Formats: sequence, C-alpha cells, structure tokens
Amino acid sequence: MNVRCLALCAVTIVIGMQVFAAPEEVTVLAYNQRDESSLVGALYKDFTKDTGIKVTVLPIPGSTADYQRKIDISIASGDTTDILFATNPIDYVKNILNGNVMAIDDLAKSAKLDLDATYGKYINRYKGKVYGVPQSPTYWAVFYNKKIFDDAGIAYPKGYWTWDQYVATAKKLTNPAKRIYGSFMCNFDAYSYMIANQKGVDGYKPDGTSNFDDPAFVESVQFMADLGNKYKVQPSYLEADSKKLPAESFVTGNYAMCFSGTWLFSQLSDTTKYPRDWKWGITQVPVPDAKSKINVGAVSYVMINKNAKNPSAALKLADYIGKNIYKYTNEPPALTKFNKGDYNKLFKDIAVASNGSVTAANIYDAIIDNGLGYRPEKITGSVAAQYKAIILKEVAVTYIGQRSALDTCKEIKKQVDEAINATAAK
Amino acid sequence: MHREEAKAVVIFVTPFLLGYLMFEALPMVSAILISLTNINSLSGLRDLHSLGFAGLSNYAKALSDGPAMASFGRSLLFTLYYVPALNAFAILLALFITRSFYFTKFVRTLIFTPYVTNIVAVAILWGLLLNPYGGIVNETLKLMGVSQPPMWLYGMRTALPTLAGISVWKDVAFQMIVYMAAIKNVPSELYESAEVDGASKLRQFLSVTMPMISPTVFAMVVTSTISSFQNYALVRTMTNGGPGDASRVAVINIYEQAFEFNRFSYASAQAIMMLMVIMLITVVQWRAQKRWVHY
Repeated sequence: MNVRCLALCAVTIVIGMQVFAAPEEVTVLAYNQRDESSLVGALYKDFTKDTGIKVTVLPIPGSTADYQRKIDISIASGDTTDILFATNPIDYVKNILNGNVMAIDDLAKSAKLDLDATYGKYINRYKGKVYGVPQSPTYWAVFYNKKIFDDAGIAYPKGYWTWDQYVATAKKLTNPAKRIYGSFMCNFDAYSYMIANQKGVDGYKPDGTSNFDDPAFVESVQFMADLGNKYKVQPSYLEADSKKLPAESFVTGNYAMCFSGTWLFSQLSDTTKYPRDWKWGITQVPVPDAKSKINVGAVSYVMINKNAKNPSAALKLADYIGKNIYKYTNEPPALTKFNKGDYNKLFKDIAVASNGSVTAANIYDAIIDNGLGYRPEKITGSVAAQYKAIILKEVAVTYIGQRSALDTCKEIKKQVDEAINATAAK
Repeated sequence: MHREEAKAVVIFVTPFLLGYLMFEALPMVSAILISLTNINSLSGLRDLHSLGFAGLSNYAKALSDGPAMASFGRSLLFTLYYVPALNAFAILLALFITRSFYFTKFVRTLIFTPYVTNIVAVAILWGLLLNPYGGIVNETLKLMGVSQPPMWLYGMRTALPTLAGISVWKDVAFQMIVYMAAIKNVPSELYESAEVDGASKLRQFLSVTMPMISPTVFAMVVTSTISSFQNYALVRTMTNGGPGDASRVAVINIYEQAFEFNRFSYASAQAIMMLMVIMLITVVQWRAQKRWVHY
C-alpha cells in the first residue's frame, strides 16, 4: 500500500469518527419534580433538539431528603452522573461541604457564560466560588379556593394582612360538616420559624450559638401548634402525619387557603394529574405586624458532580435549565433581566393554565409587587443539616401537645449548640 | 480422615466460608478499622491523605454523647418489652395450637402470616389501625367509654412499647413453631404421673412442661434478645425515632450519624459498642442458664 493510500485511509477514518461518533451526553440525577415524567421532561427534549446533546435522566424516587441521601452515597462511591439538584440552600451548602460538586467559575469562563450578568443576586457564592446555577427561586403566598370562599360568602383576601386576620378568615371558612379546613400548611421546617423569620430574627446569635431560644421562635412554634390544636383551622400535626397528607393537598379542594411556596404553581398548572372543578386565587403572605413586612423564599440550584464525565455539556444543560425552566413549570426564574413585562408574560402563561382562576396582575401583586421585603426561608450555616433535623424532630413533640413551645425551643438550642461544638472540634 | 473425605469437606464448606468472609467477617473487620480512624465527613472518605488513626476517641466521644447513650438505653428498654412478651406469647400460642380443634391448619396459617409479611406492609397496616385520628382501635376504645385513648405511636411514653408490641405480633410465629416442637417432645408419661399425683394443669405446666422445654426457652431468649436490637426497619417505617426522641433506638441513631451527617467512624464506633453490649448480655445469659435450664 503506498503512502497516498494510507493517508487517504487515515483521513477517512478520522472523518468517519467525527460523523459517526456517539453524540455528547449529559446524565442527570433527578428528583420527582425534575424527572422525565414531570413538566421538565419537555425541557430535556428541547435541550437535545437545540444542542444535539443527549440527556439521560436517572430518577430517584422518594422525598427530597431521600434524594439528597442518595446523592451523598452515590458520589462518595464514585458515581459519574453529571448533574444533580440542590432543592434549597441547605442542600446547596451540604453538597459543597461533602465535596460532591465542583466550582463552576472556570468552566463558565471557558464557555463564555457570564453568570453574574444572567443570574445576579440569585448567585450563591461559598468562600468566593460559585457551585451551582440558580433556578426557580420560590416566594411564599397564600393560595385560596374561590369556591369555598363563595359558598361561605367571604370576600377574597387581598393586599396587606396579618396572621391574626388569616386565622380569623380561616375560622370562618372551616366547616367540619363538609370536611373543609380553612387552612393548610405542610410540615417543612421553615413553617416552624416563619414568624421569627418575618420578624428578621436570625437562627444564630452573634457568638455563633443557636438563637432558637429567642421569644420570636417560641411564638412561631406555638403559633404553628395552635393552628391545628387550638384554633382547629387546619389538620393538626397528628392528623397530617398519621394520614400522610402530601404537600400539594391544596389541590384536593378540601382546604380554603394554603400558605405555601410558589412551587405550587407547578401542581396548580397540571390539571391532568390534579383535575379540579374550582378556581383558585392568590394573595400575598400575612405578616406578624406592620413592623415585620417580610416575605421569604429559597433558591434551588443545578450543580455539577465533581466526578462528572462531561462537565462542559453539564454546564450547558445547567445554564439552559436556569434560563428556560420557567417556560415549562411556570415557576418564576432566577434571572436578573426578568423585568415586569417578562413576569407578566410568565404569569399570563400561569393565568391561562389556571383556566381563568387568576390574572397575571393578581400573581404579580401577590409575590413581586407586594411591599414586602425578602429573606431566605431556611436557617443555614455550618450545621444547617443538623439544625433542620433537630427542629423537625423536636417541634413534633409540641405539635402533638406533649411539651410546651418554650421547652421545645430550649431543647432545640441545646442540641444545635452541641452540634456546633462537635463541628468546631473536628 | 481420608484424603477423599477431606476434599469433600473442603468443597462443601468453601462456599459458606467464602460467603461468611465476604458478607460477615470482612465487613465486621472493616467496621472495627473504620471506628479507629477519623472518617467523619464525605470528603474525608475520598481524600485518603486526611485519613488518620483516631484510636479510641470515637468510643470516648460516644460514651460522653448524651443522645447516643440515651438511644442505647431505649434499645435496652425495647428488649425488656420485647423478649419476655414474645416468648410468653409464643409459649401460650404453642400450648393452644398443639391441641386439636377445627380449622387448626387455617389458624396456624393465620398466625404465620405476619411473619412472612413485608415490614412496610406491616407499618402501613398498624399505622392505619393505631391512627389516633380515626383509627379503628381508638374508635373502638371510645365506643367502649375510654374518653382519652392512648396516642400509641404518637405518644412520648407509648411509642416504644407500641413498637415492641407490633414486633412481637410480627415475630411470634417462628418462636411458636419452635416451642410447639419442644412441647411435643415432652414424654407423655411425665404428664400421666403428674396427673396421678393430683397435679392441676397449671402445676403440670410449671413443673413438667417448663423445665422440660427450658433448653428451648434459653435458646429462644438468647436469639430474640439479639434480634431485638435489629429493629431498624420497623422503627424507621413506623415512627422514624419520633415523636421527638421517644423511639429513637441505637440503630436509628447510628444510621443518622453515618448517612445523614456522614460521620462514618463515629457511627462505626457506636455499632461496635452495640455489638459488645449484645455479646455481654449473651455471656450473662449463658452463665445464668446453669440456674434454670435443665438438660
């Protein structure tokens, strides 16, 4: 075989490898609301269409706590799945501290992605580095069932209101004969200290110890317990836990109001999975008093596995999710250049999907233009995971009426301080 | 032994030995080694340069860890509820079932069904029955005039004994089968002579049956004591250690330390401590058998 022939063969082989090479692929470890059967499934398909990069989704069943546990173990054992999600700032920091994820500053620079310009205030820097692309910041709001309000002859809530007014409204709407509760709230940790958070009280004292013995936290825990046990306007903790009421129970139509994050838009927009014959409304969150006009929320993140096989493609998908997820789930995005017009267009899509329940203006007024400040909904810090676990474990004892809120808060402070000392001693 | 026999022994024993080494001995040795190191974070697990010998510091830390020691205490309390109830109930059932009556086989099948049922199904079933909010047990108690029925799995004082009770219900069938075999092996002449001597049924049970089946009782008490510490699945599915810490037994605490807070060495130390507690109890039981077991 002469040299020309050999050269021709070599070129043919190289060209053939380029043409017939396996397409680039990104793998995703997904929880329920981000797997292929969710509204985000269409996003993955569109990403493949736009970029030619194949997306393989590995769903993790169970709760987000199960999801986070799976991530820890998988990545510790060398899993090379590219993308994982942190559903809240606690898990974001946990993934960083566990060494699960890589900083994406350099990757973004090479890909010419200006994360600050795109995501601005939603970027979360840990020791000066960015570890995740923000997506879907949540705001809290009160969603309400218009049919229940109409049947009771009560005017829809609108504008500034307090928690006392919320309880008074819920009492008027609660109808045991029709099995209707005036209110529904989940059992997330953030509910337990919502009032303290709205009053601007931090989870840590200036000396770094837990601040959970502050009277604002005691008031907060007591309020949550009273909603179910004293005022009886919502299922008690005992009822909710024993019946395993899901977080999206509002869509069943048995609750007049639901104090929840805007992640509920996703369920409210999905009338196939959650069919209903009633319309819903939205209004801003109640506040403790006129001095505590704060709303809360959390940003979730798309992060890249430290062992990722294809980090560049993973960043492309992460950025695609950050920029486009709102088009599929109707959750507000974490984009700096999302202006009032963009919000109204998004909220118009939600309004259309709501079948006339709400208007774009209703939503905008409830969560954006409500005259309220904004604070992170979670207590984070170096013992964020332990803090959350301790709060969830201990407040349950007060919620089932077996310990006072004051004693519970003291116990939480004691245990969190022990965790802080143990972490500092490491 | 002839060479051929020796070969046969090696061939037959090797699969078990390999399995035992891979799935029992090696993990146990690994757990002991991990408990002597400082792997208390996920990054520590990956970065071998930071791996260091910690000696017995994890053990010392566990001994001074109030919640950890309290969880060991709850495990012991669970054993105190579980073992006597399980064996007493199993003996009574065995006595009942050794009689002949209509539908004996059907009743035996019913008794054995919980033993073969998946633990999650058991958790769902008992969660529904004992639901303090409209569960059939409490509704029945209310109809019977009990105004404040127990909170069962949601009570600070009732969660642990309720879990022990459910565990007894699930496991009693196996113990019953073993006791049935033991009772059937008691020579009938002993009962005849006791009857001739005017012994009542209760006296026959106490003076004939129990001494004769005492080796079996000893074996069942030892094995049920060991298995009482292996209650992770039941506690996790039913109460997850709650309410508060009311049912937080040692295995739940160990799991949380390892897989929620990634303190692998610390969790391993507690697991080895639990092994030593079980061994100590077993040694005490072996020594005490001389006083009450009749061979």
